[in-house]
Amino acid sequence: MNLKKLFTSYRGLFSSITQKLVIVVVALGIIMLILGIAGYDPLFLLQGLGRGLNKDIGGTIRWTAPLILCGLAIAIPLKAGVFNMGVDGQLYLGAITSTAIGLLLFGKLAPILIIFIAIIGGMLAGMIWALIPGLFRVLWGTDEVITTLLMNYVALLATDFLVLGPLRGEGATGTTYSTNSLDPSLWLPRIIPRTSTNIGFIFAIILAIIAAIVLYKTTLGYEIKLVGTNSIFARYAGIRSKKVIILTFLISGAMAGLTGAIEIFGVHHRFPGRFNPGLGFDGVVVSLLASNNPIAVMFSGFLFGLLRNGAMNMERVTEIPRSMSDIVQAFIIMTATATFATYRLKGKFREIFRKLKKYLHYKTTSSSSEEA
Amino acid sequence: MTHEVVVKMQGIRKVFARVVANNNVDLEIRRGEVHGLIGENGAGKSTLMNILYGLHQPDEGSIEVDGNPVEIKSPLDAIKLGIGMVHQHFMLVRSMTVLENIILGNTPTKGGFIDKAKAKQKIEKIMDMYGLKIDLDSRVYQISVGQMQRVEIIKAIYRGAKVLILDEPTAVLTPLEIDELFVVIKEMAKQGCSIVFITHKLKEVMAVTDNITVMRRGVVTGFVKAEDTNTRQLASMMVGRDVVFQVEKTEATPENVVLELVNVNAINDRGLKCLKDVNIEIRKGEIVGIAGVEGNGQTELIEVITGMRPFQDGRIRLVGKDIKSLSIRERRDLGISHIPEDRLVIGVSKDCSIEENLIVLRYRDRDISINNFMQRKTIEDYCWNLIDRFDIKVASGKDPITFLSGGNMQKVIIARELDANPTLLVAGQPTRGVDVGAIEFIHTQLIAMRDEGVGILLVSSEIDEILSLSDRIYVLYEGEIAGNLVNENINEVELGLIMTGSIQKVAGTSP
Repeated sequence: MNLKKLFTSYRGLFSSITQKLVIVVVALGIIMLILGIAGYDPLFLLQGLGRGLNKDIGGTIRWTAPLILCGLAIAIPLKAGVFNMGVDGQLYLGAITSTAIGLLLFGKLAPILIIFIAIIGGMLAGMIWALIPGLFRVLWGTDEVITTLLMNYVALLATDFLVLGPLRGEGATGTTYSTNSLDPSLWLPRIIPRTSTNIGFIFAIILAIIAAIVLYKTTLGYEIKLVGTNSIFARYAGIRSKKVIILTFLISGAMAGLTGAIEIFGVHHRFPGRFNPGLGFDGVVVSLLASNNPIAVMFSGFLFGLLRNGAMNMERVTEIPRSMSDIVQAFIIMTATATFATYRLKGKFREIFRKLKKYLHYKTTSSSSEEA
Repeated sequence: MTHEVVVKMQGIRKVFARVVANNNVDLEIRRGEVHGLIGENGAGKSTLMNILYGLHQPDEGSIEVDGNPVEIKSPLDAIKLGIGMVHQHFMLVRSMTVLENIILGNTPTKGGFIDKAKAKQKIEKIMDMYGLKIDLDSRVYQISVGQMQRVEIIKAIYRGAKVLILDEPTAVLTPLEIDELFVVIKEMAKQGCSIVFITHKLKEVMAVTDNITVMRRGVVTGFVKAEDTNTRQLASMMVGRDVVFQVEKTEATPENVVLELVNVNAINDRGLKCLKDVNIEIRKGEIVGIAGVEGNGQTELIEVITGMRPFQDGRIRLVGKDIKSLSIRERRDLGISHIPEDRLVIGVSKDCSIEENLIVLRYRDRDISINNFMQRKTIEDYCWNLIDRFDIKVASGKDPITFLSGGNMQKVIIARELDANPTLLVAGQPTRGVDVGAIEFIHTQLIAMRDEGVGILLVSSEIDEILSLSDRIYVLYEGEIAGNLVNENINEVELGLIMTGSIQKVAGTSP
């Protein structure tokens, strides 16, 4: 296969990667402009990002892991047309369940077994929390965007109740409430010493690859695609759409619950009340930028991990607030959605151009005929 | 009564992406007349009226209102010229009152506030004048469909309509409501309004109109006075006599019964009865055509058979086995194939590739997938086999299905459905919107399937297609079997009359 042919067959891929890069660069450009206007040195942002790639790569990867997992938790159901906005709630329930298992079983079983049971327990909790809106959707057609969003609050307050009540740790005060710490023998192994970077990152990478295989190589992936692209067609062809939709809810909930368990066993080592900085919503952005492709989710997860970490570093060394990273994310969402809009606008512009051209042509021909 | 022309449309032509919806159409509407505009679905009636109402712009032709040439760029222009339209789908705000809906967009105010008293007075005057009674303070979601239509009519008159277009107004009404509507229409005409009455029901057109324009395939095929014509003549103008297709086929040799529907009743999405005690029988090795003007229950009949629509009472048997409670998938596994009426919405997934659209009935088969893993090479071979056999013009099976023309896309569907080895094939509008070459190919395929012993149900709004392919014909009218004919020496005019509800012809038993 010659080079030209190779390029043409992957032209779609190249152009979409270029498009994504443009989105990111434009968003960064805008944020640097804002920093400048606000009176800060715009280069601090680049410095913060540079540190996140170099000295503090551990911090970047620490955030990359949950962002990839949450990105997958959004991307997989979206392939079937399901919008699970409840990743945060499922994550909280997964986290609290695994914490409880870790605290209650400690000393009764081998640590490795406890970790295993805790992670499975966390995933199951996330799945159950996702199954409820899933059943609502397939049985009564309830819009899952609403139900999953609302169930986030229930989950959050339920964990509040548990952490302030039955699972309340010693020495926890009203504002910094948390459970007791897990025994260090239960902590997930670190892959970079003296950082919070743990083997959760490896889990995330493996799961992203598995997700890609399932979505693109298996019958389930094919069914998900059919249901997501045209549910009427799927029904007509005899696909069990309800089963497929429930499955994607369950997979998504499992991913979210796993993220919660990894955050606890790998990073916090206890359940600090309201510890989740909105990873579920970040997952939406990660998935959006990756066009719901699991392989691309790995890269966009890394990018947002870098942003989050970079912004935290920036705050550490300068007086620029961390919320700037939220603003960067917001701009990436806006630029990403704006590109979708321009696709639609393109046609309009073309029509205007055509009319303009016709008009100019008419003018020139009529004036030239006058001259003649 | 004066007979001056209020609206004159001349030489109207409108083309939608290769389909000529209107071609050189002339129409004159006089003051105080009820003008019937009839034709089959897709004949161009609605397009013509949408042009008059400013929803579409004509490519050619001119419009005069009260003798002045006008350009109607939007419904707002049309309303200013005194042209009003009541669509089939009502445009009302359900949570607002009748009064609020009527004055919406044309609200009398007094010092910045809505002057409800004045509005009410004006509307009551209109209601008295035309005998249109309705409670102005009830909310729209509380009133019946017939009353909603009245609200739409009052709204149009309130805005100053002198010419009122009613787009298939009786389609949503009960028989009693239809009678009431006719009284209103006649009263309005007496008061000097002009009414354009779009329909394809000949009885109604005879009952209420003064003049009738008949359209077929985008052109006017007749203009007659209602008193000078009869349903027979109208039917022949509407249906036409030109047979375009001539398919060679041998005598059918029907064997045992494949599909049997016994007293099937079903309701449509609006909750109205759409199939009434339907009895149908299809045998192995015959093509049974369902004729009828669109919207008389054909779509629902297909859905009931294929399992896409649950139905109330009656029985349905496939080769003797009761399939009423079976899912779509179970019915497909029993050998029902289905070419859907709406290709783009039901028949393909536009965001999937040609291959993905071709294997949808077979992806669980051995070799296509092994242990739930899709076998790329087998899929490719399988698809190329179909592409060659059905002569589908594609560059690569990996291309999106939307790269294909209508005809080739339809061939993809037909290849997929026929390769499932059906015992019963339900074909809905199999040649709609495809080019002539593809039509011939599809017809040949259907005949070949019949000769191989498949029972085929053919639903088509093209009468020519029904006549040239079917061995037997059922005619559906308002959800009932209005006719049951063997396709030998069928009188087309008679068929047209049955389709439009003018006569019934049901034989005791089918052969």
